[in-house]
Amino acid sequence: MAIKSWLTLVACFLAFQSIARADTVYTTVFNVFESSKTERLLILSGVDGRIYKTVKSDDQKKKMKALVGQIVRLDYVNQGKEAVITNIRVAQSNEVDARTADLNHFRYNQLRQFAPTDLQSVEKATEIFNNMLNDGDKGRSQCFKRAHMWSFDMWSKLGIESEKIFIFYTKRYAILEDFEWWFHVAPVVTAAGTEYVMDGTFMEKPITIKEWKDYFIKSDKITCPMVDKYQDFEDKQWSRLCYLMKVPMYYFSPLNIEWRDKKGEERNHWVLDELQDARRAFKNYEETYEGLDTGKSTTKY
Amino acid sequence: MKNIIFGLLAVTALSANAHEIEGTLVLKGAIKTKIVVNTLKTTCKVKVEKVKNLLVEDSFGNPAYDIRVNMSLDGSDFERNLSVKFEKEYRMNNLFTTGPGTEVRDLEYASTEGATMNIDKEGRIKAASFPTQYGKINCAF
Repeated sequence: MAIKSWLTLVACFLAFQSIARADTVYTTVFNVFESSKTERLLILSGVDGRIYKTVKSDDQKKKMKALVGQIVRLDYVNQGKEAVITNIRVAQSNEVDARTADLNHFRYNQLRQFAPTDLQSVEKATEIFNNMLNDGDKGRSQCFKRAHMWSFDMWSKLGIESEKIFIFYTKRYAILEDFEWWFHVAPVVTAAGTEYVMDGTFMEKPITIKEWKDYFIKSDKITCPMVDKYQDFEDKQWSRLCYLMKVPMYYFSPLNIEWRDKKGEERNHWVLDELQDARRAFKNYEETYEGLDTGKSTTKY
Repeated sequence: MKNIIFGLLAVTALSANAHEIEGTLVLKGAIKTKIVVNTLKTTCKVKVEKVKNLLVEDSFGNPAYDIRVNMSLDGSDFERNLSVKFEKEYRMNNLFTTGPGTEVRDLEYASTEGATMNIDKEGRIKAASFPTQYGKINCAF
């Protein structure tokens, strides 16, 4: 009987281990928030964009706030969808080299090279597409906010580095077609060497860039040149109807691209205020993306 | 041999970028002039009513315009009991077939019925010609 109880205990322990798997990450503590919904402190991790949680208390808050900006060793267990911190401390110099380790994707890093992830198959892209957050309510937000959250989710949950594709409509198109938008944007992933647009609002599956362009220019007989510089679009508003531009996932709006080209402000990092603004693209964003709440007000759309 | 290849490449590159339009937009509105048709002083009126994108481009990637133009003639001489009356709406575009390909032209338009129109760089109508029962009419503005 004693042996039976002991075996049951071991089995329970092993089952618990499989549910709550312990793990470790070296990261930069980028921000600490207090949850308003639960008795948790939310720690935004710079290396992966994940929200790690711990118990809310004055002491814990003080301890966590002191770690903001520091490289830490963070031990945690996954409990359901939550990553709960079991231990956190400043990393020692022999554990991680602060000069070369790329542990904060919320800061520009001159050494960081952006390389889109190849998903290897369109089936994988479809699976990701089908799991993208999508409440079907495009009226509550603008496309660039939805695109930003999809890109961020792919990166923070799946480690996927994606791109974004912008279609810019020229004045000629906008005026003569009586068209209200001057751009549209969606994430782009690479699968087996082919690029697919993940436009969860307008499409039902990943589609090629050409298919996406044809849909948004309402013609398969019009080409939209792929340009590198924002100026290429600005300069030729009458000799073309549209332009396409691909940028790394970190670019939030056309303004970021314009500033890259005019002021040299490169993006290879996320900006928390933009994520806080973009998250309202989806219903229940306060709960889904509570960890991205900076407390600042956001624009309505 | 090397020079020939470089030469050919240069020519190919040049011809690929050989034709780029300004995208001159035709101004909407009407313009009139007086001409003589069958010895009658006649008003030639050309009115651009609609300007759209044709949503087709030429061999160089230039997009064409699709316009609707009303062309009319109106003249009469009560003493001689003569009159000239003509009115027709033409659908025109600026996409032209040129040898092996097509070419969008900034300042020229044509319809399938044989009407043509020329504009200036500001989009103002400069000339029009169209077939009528009085023969081919040419109006300059």
